[in-house]
Amino acid sequence: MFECKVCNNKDKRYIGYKNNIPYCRKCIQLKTNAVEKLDYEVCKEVKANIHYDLTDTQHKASNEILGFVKKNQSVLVNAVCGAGKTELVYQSIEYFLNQGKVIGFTIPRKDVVIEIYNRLKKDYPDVEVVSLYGGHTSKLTGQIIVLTTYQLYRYKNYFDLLILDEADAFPYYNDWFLKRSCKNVIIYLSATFNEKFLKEIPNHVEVNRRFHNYDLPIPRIQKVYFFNKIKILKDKINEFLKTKKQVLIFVPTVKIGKALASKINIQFVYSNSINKEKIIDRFKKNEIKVLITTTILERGITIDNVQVIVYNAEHELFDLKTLIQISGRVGRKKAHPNGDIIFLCSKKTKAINECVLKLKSKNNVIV
Amino acid sequence: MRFKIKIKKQCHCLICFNDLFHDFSFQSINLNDIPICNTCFNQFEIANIQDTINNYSIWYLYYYNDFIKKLVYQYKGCYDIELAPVFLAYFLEKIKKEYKDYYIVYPPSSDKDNKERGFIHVKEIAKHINNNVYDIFIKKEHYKQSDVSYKDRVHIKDYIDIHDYQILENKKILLLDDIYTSGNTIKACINLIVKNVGHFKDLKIICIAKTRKKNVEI
Repeated sequence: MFECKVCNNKDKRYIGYKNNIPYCRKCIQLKTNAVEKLDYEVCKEVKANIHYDLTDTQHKASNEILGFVKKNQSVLVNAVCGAGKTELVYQSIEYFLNQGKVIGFTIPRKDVVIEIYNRLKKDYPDVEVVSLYGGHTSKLTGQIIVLTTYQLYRYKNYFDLLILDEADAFPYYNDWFLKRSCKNVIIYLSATFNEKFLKEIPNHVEVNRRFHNYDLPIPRIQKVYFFNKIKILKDKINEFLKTKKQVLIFVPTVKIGKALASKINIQFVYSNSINKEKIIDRFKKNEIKVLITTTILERGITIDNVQVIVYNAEHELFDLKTLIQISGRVGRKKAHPNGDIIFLCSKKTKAINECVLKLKSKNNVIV
Repeated sequence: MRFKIKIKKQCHCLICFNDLFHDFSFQSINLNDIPICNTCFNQFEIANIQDTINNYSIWYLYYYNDFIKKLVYQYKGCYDIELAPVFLAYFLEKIKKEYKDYYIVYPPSSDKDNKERGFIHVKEIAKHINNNVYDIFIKKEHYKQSDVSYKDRVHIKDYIDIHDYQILENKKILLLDDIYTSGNTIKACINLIVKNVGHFKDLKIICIAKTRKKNVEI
């Protein structure tokens, strides 16, 4: 019986034969010649020129993380959307850099990889920082490697410190190639960990306030029926546009999005749309006022003074995790810490109720 | 009308690994021996164009789209030999019948790549048509057509050579290629055959995927 050494697959349907030698077809696209060698210029005694001020809550959390990391223990940072998760790990990064160790920073989205790469490069001018994402894979070794989570398959026993941003968004979480790429410590960052995650990693750091110390905006639930759905949606959009606010409309599937886009004549972006990056960029620059999107924009995007409408919120694809992340898009900047989130739904589902309860409970925690 | 209903040993799609009958339709009957599910099959853009190149007839099977790109990458780049029959699938029956007594040749790929891959990619596909597959072209140097700009692709003719061609004397020849972009590789191969093989009965060309020409004016 053949068993794949890489992904431990035994299922017969994934096994092919090349010159009568069996091979695994399940993980064949992640060609398994992973990088193991360490060849980079070690740079000790790094002095970073970082320009950021941590709030008291952030400072406390940051120290807690560093405490665990110093003991060589993996840690899970459960912070609300907009708490400034990236800033929290800077202290730990510095600690490892000063020892001359290798650091990996993974993010699910490509454009955020580029953003963080530029930031780290500016902050640590003496350190070799490398960015890695689909279509940009020429250089694989460095001291800080910023990469999309998927690219981790290239590394085997490589990182001393691995930071997984939005760890739960990753479809392979808990998977073999996450653990094999890291030697020592993993820091998991997210706002929406599930129970399994929380159980598995005993060390928790919780951040329940946003960095600007305002409350999380609570979604409003609006019941709609099939005959007045479009009308209410249009009214809401016009209401927001009158006050010169930008609106993001989330839809569950591409099919529903396309139908809606043609009905109310608004641009729609989804994973395969033609110039996705351009449209999103224009939305960020406030050139487009209203945009329909699927859940591709649910994470890692910050737009000043944006309002959110969730269309068909009762759809099964909008689970608790997704709804909390979508709600977290609103009020992320200090200039506009509040905003509206409206769930348009025909019935209240479990996920919607839980989402509201959870956000309320986070607001009630006394720090 | 001919119906073939067989109980197959392997009932999983070669491409997506799903159960073959999860979306069964009568179209699937056409693909009688190759397990491809309907969803995957519908992603092929069938071209089925007959054309001529240097006065020899050429037959394009599909258009080159993202789906074929992915398949070719998995087949050639990730060395997934099991995908070989997938590329002819829809046309296999027809090609088998029409080219029963043809001698199949194919453009060369570099030795280094073949060794690493463990098989020669076009040869594996050709084996499904008939067993007269001959390796007569060689690459003189390492040269990758896909790395070169559209204009410079003409130079491929300097890098290809022919040997052991006596076997093709007085035979029907079929030239099989995977992806057609500028047509320079095929033209170079045709020229070499015409120049060196003194007399042959017929020469036909099949290309699996054709890239769409970008319209410059629009």
